[in-house]
Amino acid sequence: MTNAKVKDLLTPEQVKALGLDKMEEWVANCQMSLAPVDETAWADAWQTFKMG
Amino acid sequence: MSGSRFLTPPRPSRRDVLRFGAQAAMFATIASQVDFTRPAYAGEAKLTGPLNVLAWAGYNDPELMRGFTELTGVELNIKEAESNGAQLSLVQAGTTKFDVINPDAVWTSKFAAAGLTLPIDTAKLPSLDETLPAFRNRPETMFDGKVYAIPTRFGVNGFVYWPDKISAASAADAELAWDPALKNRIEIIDWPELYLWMTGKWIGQAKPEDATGEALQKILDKMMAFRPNMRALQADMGTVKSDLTNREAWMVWGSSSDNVRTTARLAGADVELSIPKQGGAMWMETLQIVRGTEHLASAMAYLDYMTSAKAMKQMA
Repeated sequence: MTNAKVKDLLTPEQVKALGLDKMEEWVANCQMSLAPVDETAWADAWQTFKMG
Repeated sequence: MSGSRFLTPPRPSRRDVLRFGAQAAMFATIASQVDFTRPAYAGEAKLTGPLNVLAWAGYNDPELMRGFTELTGVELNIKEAESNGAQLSLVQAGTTKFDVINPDAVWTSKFAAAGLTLPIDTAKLPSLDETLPAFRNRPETMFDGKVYAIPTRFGVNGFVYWPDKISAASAADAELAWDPALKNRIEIIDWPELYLWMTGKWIGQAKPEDATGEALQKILDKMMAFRPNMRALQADMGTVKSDLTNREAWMVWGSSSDNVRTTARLAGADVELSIPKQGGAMWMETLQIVRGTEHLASAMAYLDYMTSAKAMKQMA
């Protein structure tokens, strides 16, 4: 949830269970994953990985 | 959020779905089919409806929908989206005239460039004043210097693990996934772009999404080296969560880690989540307004409602 006020509407236990107390830290350490430019090549690569 | 709703494990995510839905050529076709001589929107002065929304699972929650109708008097018709590519196809087909759609943020420029969506006047969305700083004016929500997408739900991807089997220090390093001590103990799901992208990042590629040829082979080689540790590649998130909860797996990589953690904890598993120091990956849904809507005021009201604390609590 992107609204900062959601936490105010939840109990501390609910905030903790949902990980909202740590979410900003997690997000700060993540980058948005982007779709591949060459979808076909990635699909082939993944198929190779799956087949082992 | 009622107690019973809170205790319900998070709904199965549509992240189960393999998302190689759209092809670049499709966008060129779509762009040529948009009639730019028609008005970009109507109904900007009054709340009118019904409002047709194409959205991922969860947006059709009856209580959530009722809240909007009680607030505005506008009825909602919500069709569940199966993928980003399916949203694109349905909007383009025009069989149902959607007013609001729900693609991932990274698809924003594709929809906007094709002329399928409208820029959004964020000054008219008071709920955005409460948006977490990390989600304000993100580049993925912009096109040509204008906001086209409003973030709603998101998730992070790292490791979720049993702390009695794996130390926090180990889980802070992405190389954990290749640790021989975890042979046959890690599960992942069938989400190719996530794992290939994360692995590319972890081996030092600045823009793994551009990887082809030798660069892609390096990613594949690293993924192949992970296989001995892979207990299973599951088709759905439910199985990785249950396998982690019952300790058949010691760790789940990706699979929307915050969701995995929450579900496992609600099931009594005292697992931990770590974003490795090499970085994690995030996904983010957005709401966007379809060009040609005849209910612009209602569409804006819906975006404001869905980004309010009340609605997001209901979605939690």
